[in-house]
Amino acid sequence: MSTHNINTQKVNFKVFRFNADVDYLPYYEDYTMEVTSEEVVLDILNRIKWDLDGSFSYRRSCRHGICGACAIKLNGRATLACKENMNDMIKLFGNDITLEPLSIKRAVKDMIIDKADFWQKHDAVKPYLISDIDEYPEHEHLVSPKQAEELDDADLCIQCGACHYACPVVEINDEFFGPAAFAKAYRFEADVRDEAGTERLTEMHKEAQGVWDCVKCFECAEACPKDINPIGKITKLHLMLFDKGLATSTVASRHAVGFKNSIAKHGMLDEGTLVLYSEGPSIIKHIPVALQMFRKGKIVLPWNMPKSDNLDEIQKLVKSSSTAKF
Amino acid sequence: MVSEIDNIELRVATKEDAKNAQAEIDFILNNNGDETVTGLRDELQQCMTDNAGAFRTGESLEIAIAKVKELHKRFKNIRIKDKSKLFNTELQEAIEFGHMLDYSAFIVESAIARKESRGAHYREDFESRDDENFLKHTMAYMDDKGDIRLDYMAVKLGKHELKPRTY
Repeated sequence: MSTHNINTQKVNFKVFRFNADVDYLPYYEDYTMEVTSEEVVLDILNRIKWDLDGSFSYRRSCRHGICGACAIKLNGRATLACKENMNDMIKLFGNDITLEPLSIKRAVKDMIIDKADFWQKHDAVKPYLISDIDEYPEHEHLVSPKQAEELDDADLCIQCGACHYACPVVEINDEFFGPAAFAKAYRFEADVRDEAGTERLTEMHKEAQGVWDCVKCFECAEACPKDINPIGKITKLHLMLFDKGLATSTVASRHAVGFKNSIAKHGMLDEGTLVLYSEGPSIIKHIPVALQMFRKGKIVLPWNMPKSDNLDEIQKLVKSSSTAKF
Repeated sequence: MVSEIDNIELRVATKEDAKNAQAEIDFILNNNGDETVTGLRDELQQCMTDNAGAFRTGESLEIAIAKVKELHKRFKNIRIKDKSKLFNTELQEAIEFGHMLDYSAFIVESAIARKESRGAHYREDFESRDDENFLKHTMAYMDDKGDIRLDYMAVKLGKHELKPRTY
């Protein structure tokens, strides 16, 4: 018989408090609690509200990881409160734990944030099947298991916003669609029944809002409680844009192609030429940075660019794995 | 089935209804007692689980109804901390609790009167189904004082054959 011990330990919680109606500035409240090994983070939120301070506010609904309402930040880490076990959090962070909303600048009341930007971007990617559906079909529209796999779990998204508010580009670029909206766009682009053609993908290609502004930091993949890996979907959208010939020549798409060219030529990244290729004549604005990089040895003069070992093998790989023309 | 929905008559809401709803919110926001909604709700949940679950007896149901009545009185003595009009989930929980009390009373009063066992209503003091006396829907009405009057409506048979459950 397996033995399962329930143990408790003391945890100090520092909790973000703010009521946009009455508070000029947010503040933090401290609570110390005995936490049992059986509790999830949502149990702590409930206990604060029910046992310690009724005015403490947060969103919650299903309490089993399917509604996406209770996403918060725990010690800065995006956390779906009903999913994460307190024991695991204590193992990660120790016994001092800070609870904050997903986005402090969007805080409305305690853990509750204004998710308007999230929903606007979600709506902007046409998050529905675009198809000329027969109103009186004679049989189902069959999707084979193999075709369904193409969605790559993008349909599991619960719209909790964890990835969106973990994304550093969303933080500084108001127009950027963000990882959740891209994952949703991919979910329909990858659906065999979808007939959107280029209308959705064209939006994905636009500068500032589109997929090219992703900085590939993988924060979204870390944040996602459903392991959807949004950045994987962003990469797939990149490839779709090339495959369908929609990737017109912009600084962003040239940047992507410049990587490939550099690897094909040297087997490694030639940062100087890459920027020249992406930016063209406007590279002139980067001269101060280039001089600094040169001084530190980060870039070299073109004739000094080293070549990777086994360059011929690398070139063969590049050739065999390139499907799209640019 | 679906077509029957069109025949349902709904009462038209009056100004009086709006006033009642507003009074309910005002009471919860402004009342200055010393009971907490969480505390009362815990007591109600425990009592209903213990005494009015699927397996119940006349005796356990009497305990339940006494407790529900007691909680009804104590509910008049609540206080909530959150007075804000913004995302006031404490107010929401208090409104919900008031309704839980009403529905608990409906459930228990109906169960006391139904001296038989049927489906998930299992009276350990009346273990068999009694079609002669109880093949009917319970209709329950609450008056202004919170007292419940029971009425019954005939079951429309025809879709399923009436026979003893032998599995």
